[in-house]
Amino acid sequence: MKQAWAALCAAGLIFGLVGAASAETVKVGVIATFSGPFARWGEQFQQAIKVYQKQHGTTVDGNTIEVIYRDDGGPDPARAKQLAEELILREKVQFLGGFVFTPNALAVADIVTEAKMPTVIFNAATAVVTRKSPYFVRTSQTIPQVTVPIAQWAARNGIKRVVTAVSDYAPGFDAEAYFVKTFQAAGGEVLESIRIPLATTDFSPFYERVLQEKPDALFIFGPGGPPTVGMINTWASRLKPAGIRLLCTAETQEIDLPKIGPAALGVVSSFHYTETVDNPLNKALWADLTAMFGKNTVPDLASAGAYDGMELIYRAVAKFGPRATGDQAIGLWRGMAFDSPRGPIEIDEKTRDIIENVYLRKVEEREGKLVNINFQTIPMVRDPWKDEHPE
Amino acid sequence: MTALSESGLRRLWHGLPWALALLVYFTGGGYLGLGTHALVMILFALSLDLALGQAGIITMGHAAFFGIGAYAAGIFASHLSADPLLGLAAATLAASLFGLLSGAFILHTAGVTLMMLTLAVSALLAEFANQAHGLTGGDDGLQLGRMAPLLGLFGFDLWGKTAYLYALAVLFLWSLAAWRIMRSPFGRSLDGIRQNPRRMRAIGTPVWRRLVVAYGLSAAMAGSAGALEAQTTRSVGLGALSVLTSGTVLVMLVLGGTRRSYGAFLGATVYVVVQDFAAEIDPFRWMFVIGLLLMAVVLIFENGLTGLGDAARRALAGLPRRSGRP
Repeated sequence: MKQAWAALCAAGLIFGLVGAASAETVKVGVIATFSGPFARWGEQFQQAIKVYQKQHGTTVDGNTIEVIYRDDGGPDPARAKQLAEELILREKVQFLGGFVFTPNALAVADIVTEAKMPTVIFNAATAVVTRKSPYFVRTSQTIPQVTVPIAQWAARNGIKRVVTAVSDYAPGFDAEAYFVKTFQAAGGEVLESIRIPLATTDFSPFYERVLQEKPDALFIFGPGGPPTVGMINTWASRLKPAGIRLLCTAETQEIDLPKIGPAALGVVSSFHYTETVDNPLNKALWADLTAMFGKNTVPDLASAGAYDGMELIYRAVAKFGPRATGDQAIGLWRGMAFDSPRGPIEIDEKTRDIIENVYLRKVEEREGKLVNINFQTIPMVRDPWKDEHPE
Repeated sequence: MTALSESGLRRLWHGLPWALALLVYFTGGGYLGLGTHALVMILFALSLDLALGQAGIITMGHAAFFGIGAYAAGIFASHLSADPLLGLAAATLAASLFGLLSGAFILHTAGVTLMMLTLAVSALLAEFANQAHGLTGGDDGLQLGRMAPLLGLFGFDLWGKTAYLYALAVLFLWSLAAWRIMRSPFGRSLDGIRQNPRRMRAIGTPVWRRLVVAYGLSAAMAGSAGALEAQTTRSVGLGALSVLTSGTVLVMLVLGGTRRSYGAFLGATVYVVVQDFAAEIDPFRWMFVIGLLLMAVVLIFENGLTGLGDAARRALAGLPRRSGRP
């Protein structure tokens, strides 16, 4: 009787295993911010992932790709680490993705390395991130990568004296350092570098100082969202009439332009993703986003990062099947070049960071809407920080 | 066989939460990270219960001590020694010193003024941590290297087993201490100060001194909690010092019930577990669930979730429902 039971159990076990092997589910854990003041990031990630899965299907060679979302609530490294543990140990994910904020990405570096978990950083833009784990790749940008081009452009286009005003936190410091260094090397003069507390809502006192310096232009770096809009609006009302131009990177992204209004017309910025960039992938991304999530949906850098992150994961599953190891996936991704909605991109073979075009663009009005229009492309820019800080 | 004596029953009752915590260790699997976080938050809520519940110090800035503990443990581990116990001791000391010092200044006030001052102190600290980039890593946060094995014997593993037991042991010691403190003459005098400081002063109690000591003790506990969080997750961020953290721990305490032996235990555990499950089901709207839960508990139960037991007992005994509301 006992033996019969044992045989039955064994049979059940075998059938169970076979059943599981024939059509496996590959779990992808996405840790990002879905609640609180930065919830837009998570929403943009999720929408881009859904568009990718609509365009490419939810299966690769019969294996279902299941995306599991976890909310870190903002810059909270302890929570990010705990979520990564849960996803790896409990949910048994095969890939990790997401990470809006640098501290959260840095916090999971150790566990990602220990678990050999291939991890795609969709945003977290501090240069050093990809150094912290050999299983990190990044599909966004680094702050030096997108800041250097605007400083070079300014120096070449008759702007001689600049004041910088950045938000008082680590990414702001990076932007300030690289703008100042590049602009001075090109012969420009930086009159003053102002750091504005993150929680500032009234920018006039800071801009009063700028007004007294009488620079040709003001370079700003904001944390995104309402404070950034305030930064630009105050520039428009106080500094623009005095003939002081504005230089920036992500601050004029299209998602915020309606809140800034016509004052933004003519502002020049440099960035790796421009919403109006003319390529079929970007057009399809935008079309599907608006079809699935409403006509006011606008893709942004978060969409591009998540979309390309999914491309990497799909390619790894296509090549190595549902049981791809971390070393296989990272090996495949190193040096991989492919087309993204933002243009051609490549994962650096050595640093696992992204190499991509950086665009100089200007805010213009098209069909009654404010949009960024590229006027110059700097092809395949590497992260300058990594070249200056070799391992 | 005689029935268990009442004191024996009570002793058994007190063993229950710890037995459950050990059960989680053996069955928890992938939940141990969550469990460790819950233990840390229990300790943090317990520290708030001493200051707010027992002594009536209305504080909205308790994250200051949690954050100091976390950063002190982080800085200690990066620059001095990777030994977890030394780091824990240093962090606890740093937080309690800051508690005594800031308490000495702000505890001359009471009520809304005190609340605003606690808020201001924690906001100042958060801004300092943001500025002192070289020390704290600023917005990038601080990453701790690998901690040395506990007592030189138990290494911290990927599964978080050592971390869980470590946090449980520290929580156990602190809750014994808190138990003693709250039932000591000192604790009773805090009780009196909360209810009527003027009268306590009139009968000769050194009110300010008692409050400062209570605040310092509470800060030490919060500092230990922060150090545990830093050591077990091997990272510290500015969030540890944020007003949101102060608010969260307050919600946990209110949810469980203030001045109850296991209020902090129940409140923090329920909050952490409900948050995790709600966020798993819907990462966008889990806060809604927490909000509803808090409203329901505050409106329906007299004193948090632990008040539920009392209400049930009174109902069974046929006593009228006691209302804490005016």
